[in-house]
Amino acid sequence: MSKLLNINVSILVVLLFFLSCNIENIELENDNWSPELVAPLINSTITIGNLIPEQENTIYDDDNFIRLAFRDDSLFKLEAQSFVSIQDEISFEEQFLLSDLDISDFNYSYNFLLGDLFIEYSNEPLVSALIDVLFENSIVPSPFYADIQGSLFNNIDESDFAGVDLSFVINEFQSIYFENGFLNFEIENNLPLNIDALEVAIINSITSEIIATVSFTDLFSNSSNDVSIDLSNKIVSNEIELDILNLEFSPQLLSAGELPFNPESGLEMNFSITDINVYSITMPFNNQVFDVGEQFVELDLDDDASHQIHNIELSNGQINYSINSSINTDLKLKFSIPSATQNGQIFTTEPLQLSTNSVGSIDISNLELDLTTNPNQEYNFIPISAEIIINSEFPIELNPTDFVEFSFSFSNLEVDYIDGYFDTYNFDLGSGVVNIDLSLLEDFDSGLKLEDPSLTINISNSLGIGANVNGQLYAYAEDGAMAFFEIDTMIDRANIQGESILMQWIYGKDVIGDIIELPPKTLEYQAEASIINDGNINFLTKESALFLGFELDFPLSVNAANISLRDTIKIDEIKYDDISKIKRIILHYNFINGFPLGTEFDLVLRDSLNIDGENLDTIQFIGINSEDNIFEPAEVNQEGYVVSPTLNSGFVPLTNKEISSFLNTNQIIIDVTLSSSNYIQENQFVKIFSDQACVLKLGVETQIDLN
Amino acid sequence: MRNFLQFVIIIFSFQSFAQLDGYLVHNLDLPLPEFSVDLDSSAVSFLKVPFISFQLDLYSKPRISDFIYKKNSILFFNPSIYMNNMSQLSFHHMDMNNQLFYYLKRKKYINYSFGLNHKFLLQGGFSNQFISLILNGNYQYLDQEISLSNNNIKAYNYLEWYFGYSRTINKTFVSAKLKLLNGIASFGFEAGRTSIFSAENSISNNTPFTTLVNSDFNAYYTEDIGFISNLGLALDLSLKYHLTKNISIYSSISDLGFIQWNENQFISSGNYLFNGLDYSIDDNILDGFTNIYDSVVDVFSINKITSIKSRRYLPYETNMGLVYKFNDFRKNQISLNYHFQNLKISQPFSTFSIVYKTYFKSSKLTLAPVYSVNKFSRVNFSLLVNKQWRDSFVTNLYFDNIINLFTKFSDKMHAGLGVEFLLIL
Repeated sequence: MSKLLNINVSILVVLLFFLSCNIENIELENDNWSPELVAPLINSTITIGNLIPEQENTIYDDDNFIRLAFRDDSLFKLEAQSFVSIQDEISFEEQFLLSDLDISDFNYSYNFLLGDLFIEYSNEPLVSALIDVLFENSIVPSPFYADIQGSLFNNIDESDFAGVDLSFVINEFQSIYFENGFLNFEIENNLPLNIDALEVAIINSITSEIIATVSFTDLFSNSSNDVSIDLSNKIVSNEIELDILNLEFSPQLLSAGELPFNPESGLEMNFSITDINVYSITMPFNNQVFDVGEQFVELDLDDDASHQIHNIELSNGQINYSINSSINTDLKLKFSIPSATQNGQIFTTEPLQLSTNSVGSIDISNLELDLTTNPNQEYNFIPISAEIIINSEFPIELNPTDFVEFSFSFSNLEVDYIDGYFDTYNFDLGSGVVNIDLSLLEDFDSGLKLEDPSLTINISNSLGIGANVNGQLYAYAEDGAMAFFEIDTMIDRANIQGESILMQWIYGKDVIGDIIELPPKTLEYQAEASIINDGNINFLTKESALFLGFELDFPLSVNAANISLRDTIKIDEIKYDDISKIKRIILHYNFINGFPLGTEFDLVLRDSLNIDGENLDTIQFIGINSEDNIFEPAEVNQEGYVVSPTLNSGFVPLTNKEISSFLNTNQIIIDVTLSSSNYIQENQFVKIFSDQACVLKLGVETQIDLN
Repeated sequence: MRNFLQFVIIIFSFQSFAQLDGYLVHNLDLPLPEFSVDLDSSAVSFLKVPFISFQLDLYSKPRISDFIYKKNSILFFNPSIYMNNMSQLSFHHMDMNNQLFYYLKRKKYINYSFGLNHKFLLQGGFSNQFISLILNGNYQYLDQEISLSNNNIKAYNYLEWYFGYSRTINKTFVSAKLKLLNGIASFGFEAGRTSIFSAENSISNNTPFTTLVNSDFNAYYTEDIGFISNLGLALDLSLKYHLTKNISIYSSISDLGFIQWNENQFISSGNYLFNGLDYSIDDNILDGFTNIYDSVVDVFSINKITSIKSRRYLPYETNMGLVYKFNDFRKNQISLNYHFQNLKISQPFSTFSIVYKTYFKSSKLTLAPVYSVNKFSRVNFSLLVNKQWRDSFVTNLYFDNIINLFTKFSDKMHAGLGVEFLLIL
């Protein structure tokens, strides 16, 4: 029922108005519906930065002060490698032949003791008979302390030792074919009686060849004697046999009684092989070290200059090695540069394990190298040394043709520091052309006066080298007009590493007036330098360089300037054609001028699709508190800084044509003309900052016909 | 027939006024000349013919016929006339009462009544400032606050289930009617403290014009029409005292109550100061205005609250007056009535009325012309025609402010129409 009642009411009320009157339609009738509307429209802030944007040669200081400047801090640049360039590859090779190896001496001792003789040959008839005679119960005392009748030795000679084995083996080598060498044979008589003569043959047990026969006479008790045997061109094996060819004891009187013998009583024989140079040797090598010796490698410099390099510090680099050996055994190489340190330690590599043909690399980063250790030339030489270490568990044979050859090369060298005496010579610093954009100057009329334009030459030198620099700067205007500037100066050197010498020359209007007048569009430059030898050590570092730059600086502190600046606002076309409905449009504005110059403010209405590029219209803002269309500038102080902005107000009634143009524009160009001619005192300069702003506050008053 | 329909609709559109005798006999609603409901002791019963009795009251300032008119079968709405013909505020009021069922039983001095009414109440008003703002713009109101707080509209559509009781105690006749209300639909708009202020800032550091808009409006409607969704209570009270046999005074209040609506509400509250688009040249100007639009939409975003219980009071009304009955066979009487109506959307208004009632016994016809004065019109003439057909059928026909339909004595309009058909059981 509720729905019925709702419908009831609705139908009742509506039908009352429509059905009862034969109503065909309902319309709004208002003969004069033309509301007058006012509305705020826009608060548009326009800064000098909008009109003079920071770009290539228009720069803002930290305080937003604008200057037109061209600046190149490294118009000319000299880096360390421009003076001294070290070849990336420094190579040297060395071959080490076996004959160059120093073989260590061999030593061997052999004791021929009486006590041992009694024990080892007790079964021999003679020895057995003597034991029965000499010792109680026919027992050889042990240890051997015995008193024996001296006369008993009167009957002993070399024949009594015919069956005695006097052979021994030297384990330090197996066989040596001597080119050179000496066998020193020393015999010491530890018997309590003298030997009048002793002749011994030293026999190679394997070949039974006699190596040498040595004879001694008057070999007194507790004394020794030796003899040196030349082993040149002889082959000696390590199995040696002695043959006593002659033995004569000094005759002992019977009355002399018994002589005291002890365990050391006998003959001690010491063999030593010295000054060994071999044709071949067969022996086990137990970490046998062969010193290659010290070599000097000369530093190659890329250029033709005669630099005398004393010290080099490398940040990076490596030594590549290639080693070839004919010896097939455990071989190691230890490489060092005696005059170099790495991390405070003399540069020595760990033993490099080599095979018959090995390649590898050694890191020499952070190497500090002294090139002054060659006594023949105390610069530019790198000392190197190497050791070869042979280690073999089993004997191996080394022949004269055996070799170890190795080659080394420095590569990827990055020099951190280098010093020495650098050669004096001239070189070209280079030349070039740069384009500069100072077109903003063209926007000023010819009356522009800049307060403090300058050209500054800046030099920064962190090289330990002084130089004379001579350069020329040619400035060309767009129309080809030219002005010239020359610099000829001596550049001081850095005295210590890390020091940077800064030099600056500033030239004002009196010098560069011609360049300002152009204004320059293109700059051409060229220069050359010559190194100054002041007798002191020169140095270069990786980072050190010499920079020569210059700066054209036109700070916008202006007087009597007139400049027209523009910026474009792109908007969407309103596309409203029936302007007859618009009875009026009046733009009300408050213009707060923070520009330090008198300001003419226009809005240029454009249609970007208009091929002819003609403006649709120009809306000029003419203040009610100004005599013409130039708004009063902001108040500035004596230094040219804005103290307070000025207020300019007014209203702009738009004509029908202007309204039409406004509705059909899609580009609004803000056309600002700044002028100082009418408002600034003579000689008053004002400073232009990018954040100086004017604020256009617009409101609209309109009447629209809605009939 | 067509002419008759047009006549009825025109009457409807201009208003009826059913409370003709100026005092609420709310358990009778019937001037039955031969029966004094508050004095006679005989038993009687009445039954209204269901669904065909109604009352319609309509107030409008300015006159509807002024700004809505017909030319060549086209109905025109002329807002300028609407604005020009109003003073500070316009006011439109429609009160329609469909009496769906009514039964009265009188026994001795006690009356019992039962009934069901359908009521539709529509009130609305707009300020001259608001209309003028639309028609003439805001230029005229520079540096003036345009308050929209007086722009309101509301409508209630509901059923009344009631039980009435009245009796005579000595010289006093008291009556009361308790009404259970069942809301069907409602809607409304309250502008609250919504205002617009535009300022002119010529020759200053501000934008030449600034506009401050305060939004504080509230709109609502009811779509839940369940039987128990929108319940309410209301009470009618009346008191009549017989000073003498011929003179009595009375006072009454009616529709003192409320309905608890289950509403959907739309609330907007915010303020926005627009002093122009802050724009720098690097910005996109279209994006700037789009951002402003987005900000405005955000600030004045409408917060929708659904199914919220809202108690809304009915616009109660009171009457008081004096009745003088002549001692003649015609049972003539003169009444003076003061009517006060508390309108929710505008200032209350009062109506002073004088009624002369005369009875023609031969034809069992009662005529009661009325003259009344209120702020809508100083020349209001109405007429009640009461006719008893045979012994048990009575018709009442009311034409309220008939002259106002055909003349323009006033720039305001007040008219009404009512019909009743009763059976005497």
